[in-house]
Amino acid sequence: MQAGYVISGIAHAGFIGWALLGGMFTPKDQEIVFNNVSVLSEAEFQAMIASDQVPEVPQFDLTALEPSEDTDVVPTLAEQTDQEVDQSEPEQPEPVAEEITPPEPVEPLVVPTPDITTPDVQPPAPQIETAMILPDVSTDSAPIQANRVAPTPVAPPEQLAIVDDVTQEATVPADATESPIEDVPEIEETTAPEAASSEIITEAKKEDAKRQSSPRPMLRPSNFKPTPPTKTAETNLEDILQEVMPSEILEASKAKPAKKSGPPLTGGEKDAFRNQVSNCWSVNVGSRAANVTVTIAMEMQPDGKVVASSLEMIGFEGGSQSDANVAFQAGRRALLRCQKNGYDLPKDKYDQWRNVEIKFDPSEMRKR
Amino acid sequence: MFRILTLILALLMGAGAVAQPLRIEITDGVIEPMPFAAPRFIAQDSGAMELSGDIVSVLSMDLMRTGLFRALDERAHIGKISSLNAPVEYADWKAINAQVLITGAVATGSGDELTVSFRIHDVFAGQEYGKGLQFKGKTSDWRRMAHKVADEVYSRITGESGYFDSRVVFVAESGSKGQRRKRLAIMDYDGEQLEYLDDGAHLVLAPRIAPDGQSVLFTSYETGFPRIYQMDLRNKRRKLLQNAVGTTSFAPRFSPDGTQIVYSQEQGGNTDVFVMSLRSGQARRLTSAPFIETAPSFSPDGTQIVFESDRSGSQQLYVMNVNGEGVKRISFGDGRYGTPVWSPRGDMIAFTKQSRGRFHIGVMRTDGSEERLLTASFLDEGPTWSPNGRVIMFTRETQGVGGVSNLYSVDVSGRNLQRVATPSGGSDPTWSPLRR
Repeated sequence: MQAGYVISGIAHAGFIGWALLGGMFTPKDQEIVFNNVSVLSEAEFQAMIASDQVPEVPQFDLTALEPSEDTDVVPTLAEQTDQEVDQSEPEQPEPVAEEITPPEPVEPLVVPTPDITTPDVQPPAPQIETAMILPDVSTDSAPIQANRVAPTPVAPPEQLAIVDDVTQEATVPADATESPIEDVPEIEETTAPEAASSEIITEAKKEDAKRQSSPRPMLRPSNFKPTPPTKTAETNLEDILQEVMPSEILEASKAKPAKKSGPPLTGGEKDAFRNQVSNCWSVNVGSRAANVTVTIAMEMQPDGKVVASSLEMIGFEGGSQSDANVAFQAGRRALLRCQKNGYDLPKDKYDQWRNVEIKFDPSEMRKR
Repeated sequence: MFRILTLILALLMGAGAVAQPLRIEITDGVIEPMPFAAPRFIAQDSGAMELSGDIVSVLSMDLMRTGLFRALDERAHIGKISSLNAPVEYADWKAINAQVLITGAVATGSGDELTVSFRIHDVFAGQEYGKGLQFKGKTSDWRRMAHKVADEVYSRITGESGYFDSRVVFVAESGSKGQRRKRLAIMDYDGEQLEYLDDGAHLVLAPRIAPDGQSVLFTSYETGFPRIYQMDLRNKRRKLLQNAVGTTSFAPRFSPDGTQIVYSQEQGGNTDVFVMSLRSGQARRLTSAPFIETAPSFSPDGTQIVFESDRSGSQQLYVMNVNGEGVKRISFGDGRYGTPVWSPRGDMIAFTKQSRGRFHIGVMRTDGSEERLLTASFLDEGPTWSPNGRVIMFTRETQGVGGVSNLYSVDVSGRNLQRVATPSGGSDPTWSPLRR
């Protein structure tokens, strides 16, 4: 019996977890490298020149320059300004570039975006649980179901309608809180019970939930008191969980759930945000990158500005990795260019747009 | 055990309760040139003063000619570039909405030596597009060096190779329509550095440049009949490739590896496609149908050939394997299709289409799908692809007795149609690969 519960419990837990977390079990995309443009090394270029015997073709020496110097921020970069030729390793984006010139709080002049007025859509009013007027019920200590409505509560008759000649043993009224239903002897009512209610309460309306205990016999003694779990038991439980649960789920469960204050963004607010970005999304129609749909994740500041370092391509479809990189750059440029002083988003719903995922789909643009 | 299950369930519920990001999908963008700033390169000596401006001018024109970039007027520049290696104040360039900043320095050395160093900056990201580069060459080749800088800029931003350091061989035309003089000529892709390859004594047609850019095939009427010649562009020597008695041959093209040519040969009123080894001179027939089959063009991988044929009753495009088998028709639209050319990318075929009294340059997928007409005029024909497969150059002739032929280019998207600057008229362009 317990084995069945266990199997069923594991199966349900797994299914619910899969449904909630979606692709959490799938491997994450590899880290995207920006601006990974290969450059010929001098050796390659010399080899290329050597194979070119045409006299009128000039020979160019190709040298990769080192990054810009910045003795203030990154002192070590000063050593890289000696024009030393980098021949060994392929080009990698310069991660220090942003450190060299930290973003200045200058307001960029960007392509003006249309003044979008977001309709002031009020969030749906929360459902307020109002007090319900319960039907009048008899205050009899032993409530008896009334199957019909009487205009006014009636008093018990002075005399029973029928007096049986046969003396019967007195019966004890069934006590719902103590006596099981099975123990109550069935009594055929031939007349209406001597009580009435202002409303018929059918079986479906019975408030059985108010029952404090099951009428069925208890399976364990009433004096049972569970012993609190020991520290060792908790530790064992964590160990077991770590064995049976993926680490991502454990960490996610331990993380403090992000609070989402306020109602979600309305359709108008989303449209306004979408329009702000799309005005700066320039598509190079005809390029291979225009065949790629790319999804970019980013974090936003409360003032509506993008955290530039958080921009990340989290997925793409329809092209190669290099094409996707170009498509990602186009999307990133759009997001950074059009933010101006910050995207116009409702400040009171910051938790709703703190983390954003934007999918740039150029399929419609290709038809233009 | 129940507690464990309950806890697992609770954990799963808790994990699911983590805030989901706001998800937005954008399908509508803009098609507009990207603004860039290219301040005058720093002249590191007096000899580089003039060249520093010329180089920036050429690379700016290269980028703008693509239709994908827009140069910001230097008078609008706020920022100053005093050193190639100094940190860039990106805010100054953001303020004028420059998305790309190109900085550079020019120095002349001993003798004829010229050094061009440059960096490409992503202004809004506040970082460089890769590392800076430095070219060294001769001062006389400053224009090529400028093209190379532009190729590098184009490549790093679009992710595709450039096409600026390339050449075009074409038929330069001069004189009136009835007495037109045609000469083979070669020039930079932008019309500069023009050089004639012959004296124009004989009619020449349809030059096709080799994959290595060192030689060119063309059809000449020097003997009175069309014959295929190959010219070495280094010394301008030429040789006759095919001289079978009783035949005429024309419309040659190189194979991708440059070891073979495919061409048309007419004999007894029937025109078929042949392939010839340039090493052995041996030719092999690929088609034998009693129809006119001509204008063959190899696929970039050398496994297929596209050609035009009227075997269906009208001039249409067909694809066959390189051995002549597996012929398949790929064009089915109204009108007549001709002069197909396989894209260097391998994904598309450019063609000329004549329909309802108009000529068009168009492109289609290699299976004939997604046909798209890019131009329309009195006479457009003879497309040739840029080395990166992004731009098509072709001949456009105007109507009437005084009509002239000129070279035009158009983006594969159908945008950015523009005339290629040539000293005189021109026709039959063939675009070289990117120079080394």
